[in-house]
Amino acid sequence: MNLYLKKQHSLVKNIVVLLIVILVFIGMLNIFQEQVRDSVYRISAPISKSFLNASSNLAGFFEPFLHAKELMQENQTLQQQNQNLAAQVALLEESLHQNQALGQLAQNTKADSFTTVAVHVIGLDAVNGLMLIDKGSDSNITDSMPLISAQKVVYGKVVKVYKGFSQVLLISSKQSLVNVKIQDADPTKAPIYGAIKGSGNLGVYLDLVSTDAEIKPGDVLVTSALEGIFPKDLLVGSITASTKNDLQPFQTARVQAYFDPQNTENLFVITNYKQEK
Amino acid sequence: MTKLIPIILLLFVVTLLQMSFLPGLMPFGIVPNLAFVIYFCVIFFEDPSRYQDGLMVTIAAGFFLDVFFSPMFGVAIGSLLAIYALVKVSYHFLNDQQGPLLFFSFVILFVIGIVAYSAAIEYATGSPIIGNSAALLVTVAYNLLAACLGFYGYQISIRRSQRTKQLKLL
Repeated sequence: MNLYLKKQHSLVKNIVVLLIVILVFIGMLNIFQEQVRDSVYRISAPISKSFLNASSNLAGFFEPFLHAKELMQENQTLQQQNQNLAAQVALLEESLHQNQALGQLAQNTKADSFTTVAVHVIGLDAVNGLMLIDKGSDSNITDSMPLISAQKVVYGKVVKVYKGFSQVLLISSKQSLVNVKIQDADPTKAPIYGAIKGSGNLGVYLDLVSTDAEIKPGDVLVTSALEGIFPKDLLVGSITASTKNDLQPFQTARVQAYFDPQNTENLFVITNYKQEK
Repeated sequence: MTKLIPIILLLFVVTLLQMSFLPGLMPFGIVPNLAFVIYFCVIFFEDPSRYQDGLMVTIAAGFFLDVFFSPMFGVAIGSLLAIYALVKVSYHFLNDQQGPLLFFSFVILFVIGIVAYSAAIEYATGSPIIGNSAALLVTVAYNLLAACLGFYGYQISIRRSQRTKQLKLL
């Protein structure tokens, strides 16, 4: 009996010592968090990049087989859109000459507005809407800087900066909120504002749109710059279906986001954007 | 101890795979947590007298998962240690059991483990888990499939190693 008690006592003692050692270890890891993460990312970055390249090559190879039906539908939709656009081009050509002078001015101011840093994606956590990029404080990246693609599609904002790496909160994260407006060709109409919220797993939806506003599938959403993080007129996505409920103060809409984190390697961090107050 | 270093290296590689290679190939970017599957198979089948190896694998798996998927260190390590304790306590009731009952216990414990781990990570990242129960279901299904493959793979490797030992005795 005594021997059994002694054995039990020794086991409890061992467990307590082990727990203390583990707690100290975790504490040390948290104290030196930045250095530890930076070192691990530095070691893993070349392997991650090769895996990402292999993944996008493989996905590109299987894409036509896996999504044949969707591709056919997309092809039909694109053909229709192409016809509509051809009609619009004919109309726009008339006003093109008038707008040329204004367009040049806008182009010049646009070209001057951003300084960007080119980054590579080295990791993606789609469930939590987080992305890891290969530049950090060494490249003058700081918190809350926007991440966009070459086509000016908004991806998210930097939330954590390490020496050579940064973590980006994608617009599909449940913690993300981006103020947007519906792009309208008619400048006499009052703009329709709303907010893009993340629903996880690379999905987003439009919320906080006034019930009086008329939104329809195909409407293009761009950033409105109200929150002061994203510059104006970056592309976000297009509305696929809207939901209006008289019992709710705002209407919501399903949105097809333009970003494609699963198949993107090169992105840009805007480093000099500061909203005018 | 000889198997420990290859297992830790394997954990590192599969963590990188699930962070960079798999999201581009899986629908909605939901990927099986391969590091968790390997960790679970190791602790489920480990020799009870060599619990130190299981503990080291738990801490290594927790470390890699914390580095890549958690905002702070300790979330994955802590939850994996809790799951390790749960599996070891359950082991007393499963001792010497074979066949379907062992598989059934493996599945039950694995589902409890992966849900507990996902809840801990999602709580730490600030995403509500109840809001996306469909994603949780898909995550559990993916992981369970990978775990079942791991279960049979591990059993085959154990049988092989036992056969080799018997041959050596002869």
